[in-house]
Amino acid sequence: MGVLLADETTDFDLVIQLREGDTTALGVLMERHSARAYRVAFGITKNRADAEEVVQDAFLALYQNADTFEGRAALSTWLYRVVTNAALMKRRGRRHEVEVPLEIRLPNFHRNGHRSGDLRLLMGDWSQDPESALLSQEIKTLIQRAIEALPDLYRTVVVLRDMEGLSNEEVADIVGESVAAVKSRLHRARMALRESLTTHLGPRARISWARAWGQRLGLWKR
Amino acid sequence: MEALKCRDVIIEFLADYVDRTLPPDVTREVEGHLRACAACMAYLNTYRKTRDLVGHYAAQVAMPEEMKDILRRFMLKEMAKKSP
Repeated sequence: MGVLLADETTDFDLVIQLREGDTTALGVLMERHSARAYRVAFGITKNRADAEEVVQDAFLALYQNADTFEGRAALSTWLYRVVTNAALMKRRGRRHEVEVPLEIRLPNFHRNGHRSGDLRLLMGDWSQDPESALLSQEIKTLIQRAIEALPDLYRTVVVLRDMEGLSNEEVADIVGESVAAVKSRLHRARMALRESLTTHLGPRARISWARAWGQRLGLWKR
Repeated sequence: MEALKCRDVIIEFLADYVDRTLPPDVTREVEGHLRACAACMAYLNTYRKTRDLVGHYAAQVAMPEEMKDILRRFMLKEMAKKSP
């Protein structure tokens, strides 16, 4: 199972070669898709050993089903679907983990529809913080934990949409939900992730500006 | 259209606004609210940045180098089972 220099060969051509018994084609497909498959599997399972198993099983399924793969969908989409389903199945065996309800990490509103909550968090715009701070190990760890804390189906949508860069339509196709349901899950998940980051970064971002605003509104004494 | 509230902007329209998939008239309403509401503007900026940081984080998730060998060995074993 060597690795061919086959950049110009399409995935479907490689599947046909595999079907004809050319196992080097499988090597090329693994080279092309295994890192992405692992990233999705790890993102959903949160566990390296589970992710490894999921990826192995996905390529085994590809090998075993090469005869019947019709190429109607892109191979990458098919692989995403196989990996996502298998990863979610792994998660079913982990149901003893207590999931934090998403609602507590969503924004709050007054009855009149305006935002409510800690002014420092409402006004804390940390988006302009230096890149060196936002890309620090501390923030990476925070993001990882916040993603891991999302309920499984919400995390799956974030992994496929914001980590893998797929479209809402592609994600809907992979997870077997409507586009509207995917958009709703994605938005709620992003809001929860934003809340986690803001809880950490907001109070120290633009405090002086928020204070000035609070003073204007009479919420802060001069 | 009645003036938008923060709840409308954040819950109903923000995701589509970020994706630029809102109709022009709704986009104008949302932008009108954002200009007048510092809290929603901060929300938009940090929502976008969150999405970008998640994408950046994804680029750091790499398949362990030894996993390639593990996968290769696994598939060779499986293919050997199928060989006559």
